Amino acid sequence: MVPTNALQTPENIADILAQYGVRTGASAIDMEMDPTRFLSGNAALDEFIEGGLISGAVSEWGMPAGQGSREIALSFVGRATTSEMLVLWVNGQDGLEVYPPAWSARGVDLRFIRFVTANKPIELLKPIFLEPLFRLVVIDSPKHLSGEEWAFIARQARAMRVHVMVLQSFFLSGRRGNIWARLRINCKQRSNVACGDGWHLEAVRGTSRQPLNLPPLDM
Amino acid sequence: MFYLAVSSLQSDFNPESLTPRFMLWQPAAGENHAIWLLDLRPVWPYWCQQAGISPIKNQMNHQERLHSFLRQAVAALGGEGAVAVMDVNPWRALMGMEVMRERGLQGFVSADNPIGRNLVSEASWDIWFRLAGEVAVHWFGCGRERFNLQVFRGQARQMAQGMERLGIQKPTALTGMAAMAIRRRYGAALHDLWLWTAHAHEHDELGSCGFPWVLWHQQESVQVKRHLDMPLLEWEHIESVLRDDVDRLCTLLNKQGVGRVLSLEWRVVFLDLSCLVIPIRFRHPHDLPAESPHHRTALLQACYAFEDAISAAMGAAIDFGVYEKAIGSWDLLVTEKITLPPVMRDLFGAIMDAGDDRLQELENRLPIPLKAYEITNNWIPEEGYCLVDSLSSSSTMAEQKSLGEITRASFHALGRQRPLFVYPKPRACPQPINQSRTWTFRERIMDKWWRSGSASSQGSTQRDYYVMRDQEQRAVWVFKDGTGKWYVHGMYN
Repeated sequence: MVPTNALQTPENIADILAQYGVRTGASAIDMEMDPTRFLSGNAALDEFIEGGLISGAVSEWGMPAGQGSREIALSFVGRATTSEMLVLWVNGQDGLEVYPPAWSARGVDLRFIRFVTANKPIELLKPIFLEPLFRLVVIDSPKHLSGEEWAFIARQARAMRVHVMVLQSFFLSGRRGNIWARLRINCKQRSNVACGDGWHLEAVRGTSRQPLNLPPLDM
Repeated sequence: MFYLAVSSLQSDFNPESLTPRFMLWQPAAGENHAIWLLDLRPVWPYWCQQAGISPIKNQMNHQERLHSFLRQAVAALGGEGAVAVMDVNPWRALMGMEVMRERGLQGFVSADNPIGRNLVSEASWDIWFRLAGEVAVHWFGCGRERFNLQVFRGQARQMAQGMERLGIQKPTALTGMAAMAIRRRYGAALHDLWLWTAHAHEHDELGSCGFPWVLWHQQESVQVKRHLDMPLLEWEHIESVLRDDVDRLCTLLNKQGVGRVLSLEWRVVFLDLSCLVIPIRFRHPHDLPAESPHHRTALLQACYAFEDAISAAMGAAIDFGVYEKAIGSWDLLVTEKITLPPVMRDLFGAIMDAGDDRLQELENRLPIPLKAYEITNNWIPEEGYCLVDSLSSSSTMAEQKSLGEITRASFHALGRQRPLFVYPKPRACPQPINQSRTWTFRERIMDKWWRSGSASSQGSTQRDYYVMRDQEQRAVWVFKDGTGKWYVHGMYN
């Protein structure tokens, strides 16, 4: 087992290589012990993303509306809030507001999450990215993130040792890359989520594992 | 419970130690204590934090801690003989305080606990009409619309006679009477007072709405003036000069022993001598001197306010000359602050130091507010949660206390079926076609028909919720009301 303190140093070679999409044997470590990773609590999902979302990195998720796939993001948020970490959810969905009872019922501790509605998250919320207060920041459906804004998010996530999840309301394409996101995953609904058929996860970048058929999450 | 009525004999009692928003209801005269009314809303999250509790939690032990904190504060500031009552509106707080004074009681009481609740219910008509007379004088002074003091006094006499004839002993015994009946018989002013007395908990939004608040302003304002050597137009150039002025303001604040600032006013004078007032507000009481010399928070808020104000001014101006709209001078003054005298620092120093206010500091730096919610154990989707800033009403709290763990689990299961995102107001939609293939029944709920007062509208208060697939195969949360109309309420995103 790799000592925990070795993972916490930003110079860790596995982390640096992984940022460029290079996998190393470090992914075999005991992730439950690692405080620098955000886990979903679903073993298959955590294994698929090679041991959780890493502090200091950005991940991009293709989650079109009406697929129920934000429940996947919520599994990470729920675990983070129950560990008493502060989480920020930036909602950019047109006309829609969060419905907190549903979040609470899915395991999110509302005391440790803050919500904000912003179409231009970086412009409006810059001070948030300059401090490591929120350990997990979820930017849901941003209207348009420029290259400079992506670079800013990635740089600040690395400097502040926080994780930033960017949820896109469209499927990600491998053809048009995003060098700033360490992990890029598309989440497709397998059938009818109301009937509990789950999702199909396909990595565009950051993990070379086979696509995952994820059953409904038990939250 | 945000309003505090305080009666104190101390001549140096300064309500500004607790809140920047207060009024002198009755000045001290002879043996009569001065009566102050305090609005604690702007500083409520701050005091909750200083008391070491979260404003989200409405648990009894948290309330007790906050009350104990306020009790000590009132005793320290108002002296031994101080009387203080906290209630949902200033009128009820005044009534509670009068009852306490009449019975020779002292100390701090909150209407959150049974003793406080009983105070208002035990108030006599004598107290009620005496206070009504005082409010009427304030209304007259404030210039309430369509208000005539003589007419009011006549209506009050008429009401007093009516109550005596009907044998109604106390004001709270009138709760069963319809609001419109009071208004029709005794006029709008007495109707307002009756509503504040009897239905304050059901109408939280009333708060102090219509109450004759005349905010107290200290004679000596904390203010700095700047005459610019060169006219300035761009924020980049203004920032460094303004930083110096905020620093000068801090020096003045330190001399006065001011603890925290809630708002500043930046009065900008352009070269054409037109003036623009730019309010600079902090969401939480901000320790201005602590950020010296960089003043990042204050300058960020100043920047947001400046950009908004300038763009609005530019939008309104038809002929906008750039040179004329360069800034020639400005005044910067503190408009809302709380002072923390040594007695408060000694009393709460340990707690205040222990408070982690990093989140509040961060919120002070943002142009938009961060929202925190709590759930309210209410089956109606729109009422199933509330913003923490708005702080749960006592009725909600009572409702929560009466609901046990089993009910809580039931609401939890309900929440699990519902979507993560909803529309603020359900949107009307056409009746779905081909329902058999695309819909799944979720739940049936009933609205609280007894609140509307007409059981005949029961048809429209029933909702049947379904998960439907729209044309783009998105899972949508829709409902059909009792009249057969369809609405989209949320999305399973």
